[in-house]
Amino acid sequence: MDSEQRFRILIVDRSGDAYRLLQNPLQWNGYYLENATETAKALNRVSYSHFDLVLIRDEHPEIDGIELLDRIKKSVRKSLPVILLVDQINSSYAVRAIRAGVHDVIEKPDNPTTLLDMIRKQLQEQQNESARKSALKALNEITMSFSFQGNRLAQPHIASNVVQTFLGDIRMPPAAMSTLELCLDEMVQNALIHGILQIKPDERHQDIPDYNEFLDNRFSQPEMKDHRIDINCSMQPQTRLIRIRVSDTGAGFDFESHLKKDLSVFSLEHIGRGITFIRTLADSVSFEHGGRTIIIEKHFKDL
Amino acid sequence: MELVLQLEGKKAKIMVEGSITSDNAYIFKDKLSEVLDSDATLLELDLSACKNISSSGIGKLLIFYKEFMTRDGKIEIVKSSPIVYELLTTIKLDQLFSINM
Repeated sequence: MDSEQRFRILIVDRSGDAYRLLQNPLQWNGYYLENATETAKALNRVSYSHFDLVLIRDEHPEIDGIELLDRIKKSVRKSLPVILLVDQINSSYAVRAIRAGVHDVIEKPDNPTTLLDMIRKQLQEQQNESARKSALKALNEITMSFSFQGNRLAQPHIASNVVQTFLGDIRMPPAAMSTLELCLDEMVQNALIHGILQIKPDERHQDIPDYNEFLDNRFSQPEMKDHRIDINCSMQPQTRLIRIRVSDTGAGFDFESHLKKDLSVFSLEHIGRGITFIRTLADSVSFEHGGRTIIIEKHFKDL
Repeated sequence: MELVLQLEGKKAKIMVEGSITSDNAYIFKDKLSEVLDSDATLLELDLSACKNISSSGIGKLLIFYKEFMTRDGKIEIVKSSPIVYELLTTIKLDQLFSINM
């Protein structure tokens, strides 16, 4: 038995044209196929039977594809892939469809091969994603540690390199990756500027050439070899929790006064903006060892 | 990160593509300095292709903001990506100037 035989597709097609076009090639390829000729029947079928994909032939006003898509996503299963088949795509329709959660909008082709390829691709992606999530959920925790010696801390992109190394193979949503990169960038900068180098505000706000020279000078000091920043990243797939811990060998800082700040009002002050960012973006922030270690936790809806 | 600055009389426009991080925030500062050196009293920021902004980037913008205000300058974020919009409004930057998505 072909593995594709497991896939069940519901076609919503009032006239039956699309169903007839696809019936033979899909069934020859081992797919189970059903046709619903009305919106109500389609909703009933997806509510009470399992389908892997819904293909809606939008025939407004009899079958309003976007309305049906919206109802499936809201009341049946948000993750159920839905493809809209239209005579002609226009941009406002595509925008409405994307907002409602469509997986693809395609123009009705003359031959079924193009459509069959798209359906296969969609189902294959869904199968891969499902396998990836199952494998991820079977793990209790994934951890990875990084250590940077003080005289190597001048290198750029530490945060993005760490996040990409840790999460590169886990296809997280871009917004989640971006949030983690931003948090880690702030944590590393905090460890470096306030912890190890202890740069004063007036030193930070000097003109760029002077500041770069100032930094180069600080990084070249022999004692920098004795300093380091350690980063530990862990993820618990079952609870969708990511924890990042950054420790430095500096003198620590007064983190308690930062934690008392009111985040509901924007502040123009220079000091502690990075910590404000971290507090805003993470679910929890805590400090240990007199401010030399910062730990953030962030839950994500989807990993 | 790519930055494009357009100066047209009293109006300046900066378009940002990529991420403003602690590593490249100085480039953003350089562009803002060019705006201060011009006659512009309106800065439009197009952040629709900006992936994110670190506190260093925000810091440069706020230093600019304070100086720009002394000449009755106005900042408007005319477009922003959803991620950046969420970030800027979460840190309450919309209390200082208009932020659009």
